Amino acid sequence: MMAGADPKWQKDAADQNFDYMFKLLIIGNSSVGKTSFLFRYADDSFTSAFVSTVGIDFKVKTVFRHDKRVKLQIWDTAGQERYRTITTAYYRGAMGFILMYDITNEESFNSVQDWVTQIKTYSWDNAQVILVGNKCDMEDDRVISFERGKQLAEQLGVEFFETSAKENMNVKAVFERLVDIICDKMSDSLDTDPNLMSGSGKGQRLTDAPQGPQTGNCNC
Amino acid sequence: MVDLGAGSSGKASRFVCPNDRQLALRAKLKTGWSVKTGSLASFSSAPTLNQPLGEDEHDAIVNVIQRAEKMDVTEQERVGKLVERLENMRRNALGRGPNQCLLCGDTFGILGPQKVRCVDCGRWACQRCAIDKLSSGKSPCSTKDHYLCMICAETREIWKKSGAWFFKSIPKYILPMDSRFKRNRSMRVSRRYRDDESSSDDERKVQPWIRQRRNSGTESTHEVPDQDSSNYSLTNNVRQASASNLQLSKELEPLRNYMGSMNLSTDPKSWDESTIAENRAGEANDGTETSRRESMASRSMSDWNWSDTKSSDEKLSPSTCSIKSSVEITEQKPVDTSMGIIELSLNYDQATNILHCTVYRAKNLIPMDIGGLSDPFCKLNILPNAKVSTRLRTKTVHKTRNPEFNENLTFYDITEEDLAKKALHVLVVDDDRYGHDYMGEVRIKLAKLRVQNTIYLTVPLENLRPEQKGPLPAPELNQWFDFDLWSRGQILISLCYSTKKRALLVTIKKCANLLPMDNNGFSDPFVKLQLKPDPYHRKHKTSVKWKNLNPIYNEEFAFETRPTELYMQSLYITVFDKDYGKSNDYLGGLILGGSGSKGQRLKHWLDMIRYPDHRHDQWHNLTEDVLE
Ligand SMILES: Nc1nc2c(ncn2[C@@H]2O[C@H](COP(=O)(O)OP(=O)(O)O)[C@@H](O)[C@H]2O)c(=O)[nH]1
Ligand SMILES: [Mg+2]
Ligand SMILES: [Zn+2]
Ligand SMILES: [Zn+2]
Repeated sequence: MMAGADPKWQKDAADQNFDYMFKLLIIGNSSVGKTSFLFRYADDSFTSAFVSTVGIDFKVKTVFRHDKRVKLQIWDTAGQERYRTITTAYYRGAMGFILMYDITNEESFNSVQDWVTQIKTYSWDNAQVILVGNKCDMEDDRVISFERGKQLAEQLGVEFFETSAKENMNVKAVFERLVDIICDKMSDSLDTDPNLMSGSGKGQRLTDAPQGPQTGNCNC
Repeated sequence: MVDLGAGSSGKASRFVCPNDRQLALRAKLKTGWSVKTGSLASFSSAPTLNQPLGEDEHDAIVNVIQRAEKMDVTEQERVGKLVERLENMRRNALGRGPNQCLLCGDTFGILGPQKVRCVDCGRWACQRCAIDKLSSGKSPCSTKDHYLCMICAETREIWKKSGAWFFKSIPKYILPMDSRFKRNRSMRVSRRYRDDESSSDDERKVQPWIRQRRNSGTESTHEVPDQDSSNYSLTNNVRQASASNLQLSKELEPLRNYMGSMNLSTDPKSWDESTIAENRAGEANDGTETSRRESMASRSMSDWNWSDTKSSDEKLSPSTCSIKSSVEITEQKPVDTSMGIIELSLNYDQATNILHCTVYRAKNLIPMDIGGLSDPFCKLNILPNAKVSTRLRTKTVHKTRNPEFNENLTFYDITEEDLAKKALHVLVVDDDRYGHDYMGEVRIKLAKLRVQNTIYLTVPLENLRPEQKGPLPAPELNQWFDFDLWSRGQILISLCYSTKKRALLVTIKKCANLLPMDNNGFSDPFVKLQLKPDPYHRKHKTSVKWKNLNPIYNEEFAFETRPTELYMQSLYITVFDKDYGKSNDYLGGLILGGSGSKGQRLKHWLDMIRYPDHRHDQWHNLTEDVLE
């Protein structure tokens, strides 16, 4: 089912009563549990039936973090190659990525590096990434140890969680951590880089410089 | 590889315009039509690499993209509002030269205000027009080098709020002015889109939910607030206009004549001149002061600064009485300004269906914190049947009972028909980490705007929601209410400090209007209690009330403690939906006492301490903030 069929989303999507909007993207091979992960977080539901995601979909959820309302637009992408054109188009706007593999599927783990390349190619360079090993409830079928996941994450310089969309383990924690990381990044960027705003903001009329990210310093 | 042309040709009628659809997609897919896939083939197990999208797939994707675009427009409008606010601030900056505050224009000096230098722009501002950047942050030490002028502070906010910090420039936005035109064009599209959806699935899904809530019935003993939204008659507008803006009174002459012919008696809450005159005569002033004490503050609260700074001059300026004779007065009702007053203007633009509201300021608001101050902001919405999506708010002005908001808020798609039937609801709210507290409200009928494009108002805030009155009726029972603050439901708690048992006795009596969390339209609520800090780390829990949105518990819990300690302790009350096999859903919570509470919650706590061996019952709103 697509998020659009949910009557609640319209309300959430149109609500302007929030402080920050973060766009997040969940990526990873097909059937690692991206869609399940999103549904668990946004609707607290889970189904064991596998319905391959068509291209892209998103859900909206507003969370409270450090006194601020943060509106999350969370994109679920199809892992399949044939949708790649569409999915990569949305990398550009994403501030955070949840890169997911399936701890019972070696191939999905081996693909992580390629997904990282995708991120580097298509997203903004300061986008934040969390590596997630999903389906940790299936201990008997595990082929990727926690240590291997952890090690890879360290190698990539990102944080790591093992989760279960099915058992609702660490799902919320992943999103909250990602939001926190982005919030920290945000405070840092303004405090440590005083020149950041001088480009098009300060001193000059803002209305004269409605520069979209596309037209600005595009580095693609 | 994404074959749009072929995929869409067959079903063009389902969407607005096939060309638009293609353009929309193409615009989104600006990476081009042919994308290198070879290098990635290694981690793709899909054998269908070059298979074009089927019609269903195509439609699904376009559907998602359209939803996303709608959200983008909303976002661009939000950023546009932020930008406009900053622009207004810049335009209104009065400072000329280094001896004046760049914002308010006050001249610095020994007698004048102290000056501080803004770290971002390097210009000088007075302390009132600058914020101490560190006081809100982590480090407590503050030196002269850490001030930001309001303009730069606002700029920083925009950089955060718009995402510019991330994209390194302010993203695309739509100024409120621009959007009038853009919207008119694009609205047709999106409306149709919305209609399609709501007529089918949405309707069916929403309806059962409402029915269920209705069936569940509430315990409410509380009277339903006036259906005929209380409002202020035209008299009021004219009077206020003349009060606040003398040159305007001429423009309002036709309106005054018009009103003179109206029968005001149909309006039960008209605030007319004669009562104001009485009020100003002095004797009424004492009266309101007393009633204020009685209604809002209990005996124990009288040592707060309830009556400070309250002079009759502040309330109303002398010119308010000047046009008394021009209006026929048919009903008199004492004016109650005990909740304070609010000044605003409304402007309606027929051409664009836009309603501009400017909230200037509020005066003499009720105190909420232990220091006798408040952190007010206003929430505006259109009634009846308030929608979350249209709700607007001003910024919060901290530590004051006389906030200057000076903020423009804009409602779109207000038809002339709406003017006849609807009202603007202004809710004043105390901003608090742990939930928002009610500080009064006012409803203003929009019908006046059919006669006059712009009206200025100074109106007293009403107290329609004293917490003591009990829970609200279920939302669908009252369309003239904006359930905003009460969306999480309410809880009735009894507090008593027993000197015999040397313990705080907490009785969880009942909850009302809890959120349905389960698929069956109900929740299975239970309440957790914890006193913090508590050397014994005691936690208590009520029983679970199955399938119940208005559970009755009447369960008592004891926390051994001393009265002196209670001043430092807080009671954390959280309500959860019991779920087997997964974590319990959070329904809402609140903190009583300590540094975490204000308003009614603080008062309840202090009453308990000051009047031991008495039961203190009080309804409280549950907040959605998850209390750690
Ligand atoms: N046991 C288990 N199964 C899961 C979990 N997450 C997803 N699945 C199952 O894995 C399959 C693929 O999930 P889906 O979310 O569609 O994967 P996606 O292609 O990455 O979106 C489905 O059958 C899910 O029920 C999990 O945490 N544990
Ligand atoms: Mg999927
Ligand atoms: Zn100043
Ligand atoms: Zn400055």
